[in-house]
Amino acid sequence: MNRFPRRRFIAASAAAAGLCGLLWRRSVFAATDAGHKTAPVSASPTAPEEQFTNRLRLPGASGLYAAVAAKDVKQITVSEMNFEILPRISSPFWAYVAEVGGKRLLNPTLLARPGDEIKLRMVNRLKQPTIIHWHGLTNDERNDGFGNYQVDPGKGFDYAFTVRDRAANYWYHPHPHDIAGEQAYKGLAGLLIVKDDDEEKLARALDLAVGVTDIPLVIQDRSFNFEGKLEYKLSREQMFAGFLGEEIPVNLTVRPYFDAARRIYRFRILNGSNARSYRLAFAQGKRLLDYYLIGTDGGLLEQPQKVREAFIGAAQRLDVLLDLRAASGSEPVFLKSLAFDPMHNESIDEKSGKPAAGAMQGMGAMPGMQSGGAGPHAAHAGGGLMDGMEISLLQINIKSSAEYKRQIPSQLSQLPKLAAAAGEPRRLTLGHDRKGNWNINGWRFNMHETPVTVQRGAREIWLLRNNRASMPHPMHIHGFQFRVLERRDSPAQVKALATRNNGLLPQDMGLLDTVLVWPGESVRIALDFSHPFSGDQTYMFHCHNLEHEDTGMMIGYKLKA
Amino acid sequence: MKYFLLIMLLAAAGAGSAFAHHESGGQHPGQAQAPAAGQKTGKGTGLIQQIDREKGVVTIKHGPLQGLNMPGMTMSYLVKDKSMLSNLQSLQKVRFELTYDGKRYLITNIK
Repeated sequence: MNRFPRRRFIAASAAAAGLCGLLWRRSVFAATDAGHKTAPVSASPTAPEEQFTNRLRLPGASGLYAAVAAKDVKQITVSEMNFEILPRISSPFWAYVAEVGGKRLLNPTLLARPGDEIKLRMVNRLKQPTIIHWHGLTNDERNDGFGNYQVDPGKGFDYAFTVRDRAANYWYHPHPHDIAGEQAYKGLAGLLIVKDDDEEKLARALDLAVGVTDIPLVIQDRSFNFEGKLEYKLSREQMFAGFLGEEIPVNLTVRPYFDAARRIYRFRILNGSNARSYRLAFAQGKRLLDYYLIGTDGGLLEQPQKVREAFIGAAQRLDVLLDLRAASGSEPVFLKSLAFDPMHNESIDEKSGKPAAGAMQGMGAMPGMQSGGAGPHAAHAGGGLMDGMEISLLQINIKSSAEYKRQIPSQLSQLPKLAAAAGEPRRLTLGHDRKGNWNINGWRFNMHETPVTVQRGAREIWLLRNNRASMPHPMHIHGFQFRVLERRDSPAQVKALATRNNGLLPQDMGLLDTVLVWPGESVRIALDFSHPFSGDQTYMFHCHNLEHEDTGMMIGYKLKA
Repeated sequence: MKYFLLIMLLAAAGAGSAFAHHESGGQHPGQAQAPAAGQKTGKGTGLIQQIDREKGVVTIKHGPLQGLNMPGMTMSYLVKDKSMLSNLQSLQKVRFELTYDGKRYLITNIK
């Protein structure tokens, strides 16, 4: 081993393991004898059988994602159960369970209006601590829900808060220390949809109905073991990159299809994956369809933004309209993630931006690789599904239907005025210590420390700079939403989608609670730390790659009263 | 370069023991001759990842195969008869038998 350092052996092993994992999806092997003279034989173009034969699960009156008024939910029991994600195969699964009106709801879609009071008790029936975080909502720290408030098995936690935020697609998920990734992966996640008059006006204008033509799409990649059961086993190297699943269920439906009419649909898209980003597009054959971005994490944009593709990082939401009248014939339309460079540039030289000396060329940055080089489309293996690989997510079958003449309104909503901030920005740099630990300004999470302090009511600009020797980080702040002011040094694939306004992406036009920051990129965001809660409050700021969060890429920040 | 070769070697070592045998221009698996002496058969459970009906190949993520002393892995195998694939689909859980005659691996039963 002297001539082949351990870390390179680890890197090579990871690469080899990845290669094994990758090839089964792409090729058929042949051998003249077992273990010798192996050579892949390309599968025929028709061979990959990506048949979308499972009807997309939608919010119904009961069961998974059932829609219910949030104020009617008095208790959410965090439960272990069995659930069929793969058809006819029961798998251990964790869910938020609510009993409302005699019906049992799993990960219910909670509906609310601004001003609603939500009072409910969370009961932890897991065998480990947990806590619910209300992602995107402006709450005091206790009702925000994060690790400092996690409760032990068998214990309960009472939430009581008023919905103070704009109408938007929020969500709720676990936020215990160190194990949020596992808990979310095993099933714990639900939507909280807040509606207001603007929302209802839009629904009337386009004749939209939740679960029929207004459809939540929760994208979460998953892996299954050989018995078809959910599997979450990560090496330290995989924790460094974040979990990448072998399948990408939508609404916990693998290879789903959806029968649609030739009309406008609203898709409320949540990237509920632990780590994976997507480059979303609607394709009919090789043709990409235009679609309209109408909302982001914090609700409706002022005007629809016509796009053909958009990146979505973990935890982000994109609210879109797709006009299927623009589709030709009856060929199915696919919601896809187009191929992109996932930019696993963890091991490049920070100053030159080039592969470090001795790097393995062409293999991309595999998890655990300390000296690997990242070429174009560098990716690491997630079982058989590389990060950045083109993949179809949902098949939309176009059925004959009655004539539909509605048009997308030109004005959707009014955003709160952007508060101007004075002074120098607060600089927060995203990177790693080359020992496998991600950090923010060199800080790693310590529940007893709050390295950042801001004054209640202050307006600040934060400059989020991601190192070049890094990977994309979806950065999430608790307690407040923000606006993106500027993107600089964006990679070409991001710049190509930018508007002429300070390098901003269409989704940067709205309110956000999570922003995807690419390697080498600097993103300036504007925050207004005004809120009605008295006393000092502590919140979290972290990467929403849940494996990064769990391994310390998170800081607490204190809001001084 | 040597690192790349090592990677390929490790990849082959990880998967090679179960590579489906496929001789260029050779017989279709369904036309295989009578079992040779020393033929071994393993039984196992797996999850279908992909089916190539044209080639008569199924990719399975499977557990250990008793009888072949083969650990769990994801691998593509030829089936004895393409018609065996007609009622199968991706992400279906199956029980199957894999035969090794000293030269090639062949799925002889799959349900």
